[in-house]
Amino acid sequence: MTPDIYNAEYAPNLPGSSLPWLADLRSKAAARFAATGLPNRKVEEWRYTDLRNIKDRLYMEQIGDGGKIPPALLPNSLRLVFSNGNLVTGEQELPPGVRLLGMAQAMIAAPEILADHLGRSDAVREMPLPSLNQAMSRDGYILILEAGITLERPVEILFLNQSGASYPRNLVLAGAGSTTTIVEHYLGADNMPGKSPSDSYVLNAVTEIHAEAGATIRRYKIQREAAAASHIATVATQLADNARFENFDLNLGGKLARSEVHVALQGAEAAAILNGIYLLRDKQHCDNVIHMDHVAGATNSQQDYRGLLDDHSHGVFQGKISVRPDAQGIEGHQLNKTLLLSDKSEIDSKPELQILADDVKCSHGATAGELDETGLFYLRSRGIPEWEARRLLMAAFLAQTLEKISDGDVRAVMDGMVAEWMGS
Amino acid sequence: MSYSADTADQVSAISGDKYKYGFVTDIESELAPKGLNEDIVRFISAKKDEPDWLLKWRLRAYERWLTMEEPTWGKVAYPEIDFQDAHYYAAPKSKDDGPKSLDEVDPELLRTYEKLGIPLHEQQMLAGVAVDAVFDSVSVATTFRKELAKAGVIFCPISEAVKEHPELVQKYLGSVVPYSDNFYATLNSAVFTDGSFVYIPKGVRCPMELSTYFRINEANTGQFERTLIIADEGSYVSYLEGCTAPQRDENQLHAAVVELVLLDDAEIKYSTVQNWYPGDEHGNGGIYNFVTKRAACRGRNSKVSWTQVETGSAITWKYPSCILQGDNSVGEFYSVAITNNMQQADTGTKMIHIGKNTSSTIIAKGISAGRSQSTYRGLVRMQPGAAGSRNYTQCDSLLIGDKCGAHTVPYIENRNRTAQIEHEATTAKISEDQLFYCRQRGLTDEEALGMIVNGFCKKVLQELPMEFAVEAQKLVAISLEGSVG
Amino acid sequence: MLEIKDLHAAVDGTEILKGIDLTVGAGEVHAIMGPNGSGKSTLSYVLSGRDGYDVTAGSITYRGQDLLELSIEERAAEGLFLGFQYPVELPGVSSTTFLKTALNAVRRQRGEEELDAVQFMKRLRSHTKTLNISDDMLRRGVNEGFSGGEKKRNEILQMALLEPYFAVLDETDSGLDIDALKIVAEGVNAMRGPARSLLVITHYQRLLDYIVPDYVHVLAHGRIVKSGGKKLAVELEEKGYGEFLGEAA
Repeated sequence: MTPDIYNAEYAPNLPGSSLPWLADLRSKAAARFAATGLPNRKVEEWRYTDLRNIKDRLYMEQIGDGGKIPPALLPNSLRLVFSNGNLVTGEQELPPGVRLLGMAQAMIAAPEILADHLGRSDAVREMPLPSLNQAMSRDGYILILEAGITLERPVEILFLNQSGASYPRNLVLAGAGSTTTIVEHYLGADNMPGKSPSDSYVLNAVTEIHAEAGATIRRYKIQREAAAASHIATVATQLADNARFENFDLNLGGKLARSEVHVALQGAEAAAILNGIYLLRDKQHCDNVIHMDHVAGATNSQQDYRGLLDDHSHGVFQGKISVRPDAQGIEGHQLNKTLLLSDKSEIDSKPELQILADDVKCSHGATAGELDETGLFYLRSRGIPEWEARRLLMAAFLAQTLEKISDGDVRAVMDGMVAEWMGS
Repeated sequence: MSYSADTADQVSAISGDKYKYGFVTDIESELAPKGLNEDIVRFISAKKDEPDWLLKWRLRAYERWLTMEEPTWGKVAYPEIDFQDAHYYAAPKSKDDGPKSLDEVDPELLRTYEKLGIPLHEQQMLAGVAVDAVFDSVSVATTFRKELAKAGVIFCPISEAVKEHPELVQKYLGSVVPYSDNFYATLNSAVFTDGSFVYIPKGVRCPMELSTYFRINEANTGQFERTLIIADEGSYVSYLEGCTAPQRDENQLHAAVVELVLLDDAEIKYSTVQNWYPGDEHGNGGIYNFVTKRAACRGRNSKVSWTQVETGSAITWKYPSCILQGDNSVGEFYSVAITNNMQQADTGTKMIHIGKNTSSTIIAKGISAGRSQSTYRGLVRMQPGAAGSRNYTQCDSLLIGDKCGAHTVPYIENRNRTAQIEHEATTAKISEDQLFYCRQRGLTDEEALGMIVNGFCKKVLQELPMEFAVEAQKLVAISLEGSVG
Repeated sequence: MLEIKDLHAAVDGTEILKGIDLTVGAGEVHAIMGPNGSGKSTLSYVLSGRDGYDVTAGSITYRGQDLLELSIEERAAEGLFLGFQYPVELPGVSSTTFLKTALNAVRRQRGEEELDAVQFMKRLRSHTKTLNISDDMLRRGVNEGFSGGEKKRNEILQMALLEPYFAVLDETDSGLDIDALKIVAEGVNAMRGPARSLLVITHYQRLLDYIVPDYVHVLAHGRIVKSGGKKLAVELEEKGYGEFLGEAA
């Protein structure tokens, strides 16, 4: 789709197309994407992931609904459901100081807020896939919390997809001192009759998060896309003084998954904890990318990503911690551990440090291999059969990062999904 | 054929007769005209009286070089190099032109030698003093050669090896680093002028440490050095390269290639101490050191150990690597890279595990001070056949002052589930507490820094052969002069 | 030996020492006791010249010299020793190497001849035995992996080796059990003499049962609020610091 076709035929049919600032934002994004196209493997950040397969599916329309909508994962959640790109949940009662609505609705109800914040994340603006998302996106969710508001009920967003190309664009604005927990659930409807696997869908989502001073945001992503689907999700978070961001990415589904988390620690005492688990089998491919940018001094970051790779699967971890010259007194730690369960699985890990300040404490560690033999032997010597010993050790291995999830209900849900994967 | 404008002028100056070798440059000249073209490659080959097969190899490399582009992925920035603006051949200077004694040598240079604890006769050699006038180093060389000959070890300049042992050179040259490998290696293949050739026969443990010091017959050929070391089955050699003394060179670009071949049960220990002129505090005039070093552990149970202390050069770009092909082979990489003022270093290693039960150890210590940038770039790859293989990597960076940078870019690729990779890295600054503690016990700022940094680098320095280790410790302290306070 | 007059000192702009007056004669042992936050460690850092501790008023005269004019290592060469409360680890730097370098650095500054390896080891061994420091400990990095007690014994070893005229022992007893305490105290007592003065900084009275002071001073809110003989320490043990904390700054 050339910029001309985009501007003439596609853009005018998008929600909010009458807003001139939005038309301009989209048009520029389309031009940016057109200039480079999809990144190929010669681009350093994409050296391990091949996007050629999705090239021809980027502009397919989402037709029909997403199938049967499953019940909510969390008790008492505030829920929005997008079924094959359409917002299907109605209005619900919200606590004071909280606005939760679809992006398309917000274009009518609160365009000024969008104008101030949409597409402002420096970290991802120039990148090709977020640019494509900005140009193509029809909907997504927007959550706004006024200063001081603690939202007790978790926010649960379900993106249920069946076909076509989906571009959710999400925005979270947390006022000073506010607190919230968000679960983004990406689910694929697999068993549509008559559909062949190669027709499966492409999802390219972008979530922008702006946390003002002292805000706390917990975001959890559960990715269970359809077996032949492609999932690309980019999160761009900016944290002001004392703000805290806890993120956990659980990647289970899809044929190709790319989870990018960019965090800019812009204010002193800001802190970010990024953890994740990737469980892959068959020919799945999952690429986890992190960029932790210590812009301000006295900031703190922690990362703990773990994976189990079976069959012919391919896992990738590219984590970068960068520290700017004036960011003194910071601490940044990163850990990536992967267990290879089969002879044909593969892990590529690149934990990178780019440090320009000197008063720092940074470390990273990465291991890739199989379960420790001593542990197995110990359990077996106590009478536990080998298969069960392996299970116990793998569960313990994953638990070390799962236990960092501070929300108990979410933890229980994730534990259940992990156990289910291990059981099959 | 393409000529640079310079060459064309020279040609017309010499009355333009085509010489019998098929090129124009006067074979008698001691200095090739500036520029790089096929003519110059032929000139170099003729000057060295090389056999046809080697000339052909050089020409193939040159042709290939013309199609290649300089790599830009390293975290180093430098003004564009004009490859036509250099002489690619200069005959070794006669010692008669040098200083007659140390009294004629720059006292600043002598002070550095003192600080490094370099023995007097070595100082003379380094300063280019005509040694036979003062000290009979010729007899030292003779004794040395006798011992090696007894053991059957061949250690000679590569130009000599081409004539005396052509079958060995032909078999192994370019087999570890093919002429097309990368931009600088290809350049080197076309225009290399000299280097070491070493062959250790089956079962022989080389009786002494081989060092570039002992090649007295040469000077100033460091620009495009080519080294080839072959360790036959069951043999052992320890090779030392470089020296702690600061070395200057009119030639700014250094692109060396080192190839190591190890057969079954062989072992090579290769140590480098490099202190090429780093440029002044503004970064001007330093040497660019772009080196390709690779060891092919072809044999079962073979073992190679790279130990390097890099403190010089304006820009260092090198990744001594190991191809661990033979089952049970072992690769080790111990490195200390120190950058100060405006130096830039992008260095590291590649360990490619192909065979079963292979193992590699990487201990890299980077120290940045001043406004320098130091990057560790490493690749550890376990190929699908590398069952039971192991890697352990520890890279630590120390920052001195807040204007420098330390970066770590490791690539960890595992395609075999019984292979294990473990990588750890830390970055921190020199601790005020540690400095204060040492100073309260009477050490000066600089003494304290030197001691703490040496402690930081200890695991690497203890891998160096003894005499190098002592000098290296002093070199570490000297390189950081002026970085505290 | 040491005369402190109206010493004011600040850390990060906050005044911690608010007018200290103290005189220590040669051969005397003074104890400084005080509640946490009274400025005890600040005093020891100011005496040794640590960066970040700024003297805003007052003077310190050491053996007739203006101490504040001297750098950290110059003070060490003049025979000032600080026994750290939390001795630092120096990984990769063997204790033996460190001790020899430090001793020779001090000797060099004093214009004395440096000791060679043999002379040094002889001197070192004479002290390690009494302090129960093993050869293995000497081979390891300075304080690397040492327990609290081992670290403190290592401090006393350094003191014995460097033979200072004036030693400040900053909470040398913290983290020690009774046996370790006894060994440390023995080491310190062995160094008492007419030419050597000690400033023992401690929170608890217990250490002073073993290192008996000539004078005891109470430091509270950055000032010495009471001075007395060794009985004062016993009184403090019984009554606590309460009455001194009530005193406004």
